[in-house]
Amino acid sequence: MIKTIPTIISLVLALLFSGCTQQRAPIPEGGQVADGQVSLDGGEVTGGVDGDGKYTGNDGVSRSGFKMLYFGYNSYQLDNGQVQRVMGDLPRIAALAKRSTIRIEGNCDEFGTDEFNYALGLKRAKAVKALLVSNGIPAAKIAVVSYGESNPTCRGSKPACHAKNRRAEINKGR
Amino acid sequence: MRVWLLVIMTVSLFGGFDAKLTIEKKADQRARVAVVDGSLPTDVSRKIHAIFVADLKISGHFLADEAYLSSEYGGNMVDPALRAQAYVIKYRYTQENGTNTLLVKVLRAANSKQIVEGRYAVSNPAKYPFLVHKAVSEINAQLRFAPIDWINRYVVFARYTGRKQSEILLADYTFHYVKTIIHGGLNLFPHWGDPAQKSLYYTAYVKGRPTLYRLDLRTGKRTVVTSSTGMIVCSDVKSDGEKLLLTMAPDGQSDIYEYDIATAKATRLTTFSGIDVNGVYADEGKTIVFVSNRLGYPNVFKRDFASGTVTQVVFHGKNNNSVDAYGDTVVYSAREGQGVFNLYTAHTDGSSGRPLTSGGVNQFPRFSPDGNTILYIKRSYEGNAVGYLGLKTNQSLLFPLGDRKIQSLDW
Repeated sequence: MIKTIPTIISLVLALLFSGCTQQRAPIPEGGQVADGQVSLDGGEVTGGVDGDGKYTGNDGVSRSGFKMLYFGYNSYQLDNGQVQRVMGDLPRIAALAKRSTIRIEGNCDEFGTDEFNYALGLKRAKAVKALLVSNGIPAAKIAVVSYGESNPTCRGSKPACHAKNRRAEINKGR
Repeated sequence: MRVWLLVIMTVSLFGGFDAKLTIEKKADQRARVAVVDGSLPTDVSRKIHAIFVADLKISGHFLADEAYLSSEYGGNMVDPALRAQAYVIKYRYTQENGTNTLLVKVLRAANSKQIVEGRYAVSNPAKYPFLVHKAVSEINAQLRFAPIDWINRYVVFARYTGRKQSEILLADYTFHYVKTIIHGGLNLFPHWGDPAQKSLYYTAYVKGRPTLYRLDLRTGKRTVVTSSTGMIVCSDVKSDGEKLLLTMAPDGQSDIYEYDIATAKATRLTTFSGIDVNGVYADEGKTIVFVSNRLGYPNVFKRDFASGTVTQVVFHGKNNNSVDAYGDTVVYSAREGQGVFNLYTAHTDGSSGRPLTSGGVNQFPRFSPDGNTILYIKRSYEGNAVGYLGLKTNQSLLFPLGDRKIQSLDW
């Protein structure tokens, strides 16, 4: 069973109590995953930030091609603009739900403590799920998960870059 | 009266540990000590000197001379230039036949009398910092100062290495010894499973499902404890090791649960429709403190086990998103503007404590097992650092951690 899980646990006993030298696997660097590009400096961020901390750009799509949904500081409310972004994609989301499952991933900026951020990301995902369910997508077809601050799309220090990370993504389920 | 006013104003302006006045007052009460390297000087033997100085400083009982000194280890005559010290600590570090040995002796500076001697050995050369910590904790005990055994403990922490990638590592408290023990994928929220640090809990994602694991550090055996959709975090372990405080979201709603190891049953403790996270046992297990946004912003609350009532603990700040507890004292991190997080103490009865930091990004506060010292992470443009604040001694230390972002830690 353990072999099926990608996590590798080193021989901890040996690490702790023996004189072995440290054996480290290569550590993957940020941005190597396939689901979208990571901006290192935020230079290409086209939008701004509104008074609530929400990203105002129209760019950003999930790896399944649906529009990213942005939130304000510590917020998990979808405003009208974000609701319209979901509604624009709704026909394609409904079509996807008929042949597969949907996975909504909630994400946060790097500020705050991670445990709170994971819960905040989850609330964002749940808000999107509620909107989809209220528009006819079966709840049983939708899973929600939070990646907290572990999955940024932008790693620069500009406010708009942080705002792009306060988001939820709609993707095809696994 | 004017002098007292000046003292009070200085302390309030600069806050707790940034008040140099307080530290200078304490300095007069500490025993002066010089540390002398009796090894053939090497990079490691010089680092050992620095660790000795750090250990002695954070104990709060010694005023260690930071100057690097070296001389023969044999012979107990104290250099006349060191006679102003109360003690001289001499050490020799050797690496022979697969054994790394630290010899230590403490001399009374006034008369060169040897009052403590010790020999410490380890097979893993990377673990030399623990030899120093053991030596200093024993010297401290021999001189009948209050225990500082926490310096012998491991710190377990997770840090991000990329998107959806993080690893879990062990370190000594100075982070001179750092060892990756779990890597590949997202490995989050490590928490010690018992006071002796023989096991730990952590979260990993299995096919996208957050799963809580227990890892036995003696055998390397890993077992699944439980899992939850949305998120799962082990926030605290009861002192007897039999119950856990988990943040779970079985219905997509994050709440705090108490999980019984023996029965594998989880009891929901909070039911708020917003966010409840970071549960920590307090008041000898009679209450938990936790972070909730039930007033519209993250703040610290407590729940009484007997009555089930929830009350506000912290009446300061508008974004207090991390908490730890020892007895009836809590330490929390408060966001105070863009990029500023400060640490404060308070009490579970709602009374305020005191500020511990005054500027910068200070997060992840954790009490030592004796409640006298707080570990935290300080972020700045130079990178991360692990910091220690002695609540009784007013001593503070920072050790660099590099620029990878710390995800969480336990001590």
